[in-house]
Amino acid sequence: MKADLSLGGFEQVVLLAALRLADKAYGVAILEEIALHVGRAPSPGALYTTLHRMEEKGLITYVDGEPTPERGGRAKRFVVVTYKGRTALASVQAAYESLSKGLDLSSLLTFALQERGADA
Amino acid sequence: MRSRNLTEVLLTGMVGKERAAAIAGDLLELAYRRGRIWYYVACAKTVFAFTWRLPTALLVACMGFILVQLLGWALYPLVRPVWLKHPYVTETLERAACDLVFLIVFAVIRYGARDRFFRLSVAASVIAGLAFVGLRMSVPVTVLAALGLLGLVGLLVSTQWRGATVALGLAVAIGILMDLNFGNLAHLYCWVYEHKPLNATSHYRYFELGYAFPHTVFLIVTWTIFVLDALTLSVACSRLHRFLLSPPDDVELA
Repeated sequence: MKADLSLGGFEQVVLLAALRLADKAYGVAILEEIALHVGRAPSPGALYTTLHRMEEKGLITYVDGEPTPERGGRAKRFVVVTYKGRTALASVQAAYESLSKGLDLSSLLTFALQERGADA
Repeated sequence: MRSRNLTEVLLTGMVGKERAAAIAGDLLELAYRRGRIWYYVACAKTVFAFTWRLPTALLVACMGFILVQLLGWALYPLVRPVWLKHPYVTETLERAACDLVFLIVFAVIRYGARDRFFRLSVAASVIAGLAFVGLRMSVPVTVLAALGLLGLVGLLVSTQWRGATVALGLAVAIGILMDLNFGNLAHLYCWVYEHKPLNATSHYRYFELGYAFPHTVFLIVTWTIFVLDALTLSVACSRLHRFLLSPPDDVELA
């Protein structure tokens, strides 16, 4: 499969978070899921512009939820990853996996940390 | 009926009513845990993230347009004989080329270099630019026109490029209709100050510094119309891009 390398790094993170959350993937939940796994919460602006761009590319679509009082009566919009989105993500992840096959990533990390220690 | 806050109102123009409401709701939900100051900062950053491209694109596109106008005036002696012989063809070509430059700069900032509308604008402007410069040489221009027409047919047949082609064609047509250059302002100037129609052969003396520009009214009118034209073209480009290049609603979910 030809990998869709136009899919940016953050786009992949957002798609993965949305897929993990399944039918509970809306803005706040995606931000929290990313913070939990990446260790740093992205700014809401970065998330929403990325979602907007991915919708324009046809990678995601939305399903409306019910309005809630803590949201000032505003409805949640749940992110649904489309077939195109899943295919693009799968292809780029497969390409990364193929490229990293045979590489000892843990030793690379150790080496990088040692180098940083030496620089300091 | 629930009230809309400023963030929602500002975002509605960029992402639509439902999405703006959902974003405002998300920020409000997060504000319960993160506090009021975080909420205002997050609102400002979110609005900025969505809106900075439009004014920046407009500003830089206007600057690009002015530069290409200056280049056009510099090249004018080169095409002057053909221009005087076929004033309407050459003027339309020049306007199309100028509109294309505006659209290239606007599209690359607004939509990025991978965007089809942008890539097509670049190709079209190269063709229009070559045609403009080579006006005196009829054979190469005829060949270029034939190749351009063939390319146009190919683009309209292609399902991937049809939307971008129609959007670009309509945007350029709107630009020409809006007369996004100072040409007709010279006509206006003649009517206002000299009470007579402009003579095509003396058209360009009205642009010479020291003749038209000392008149404050002319200067204000010129720039106001220019900014309004640029705004119209940018809005037209954005709308056409949204309607003709967005993915279809029936996206495949399975």
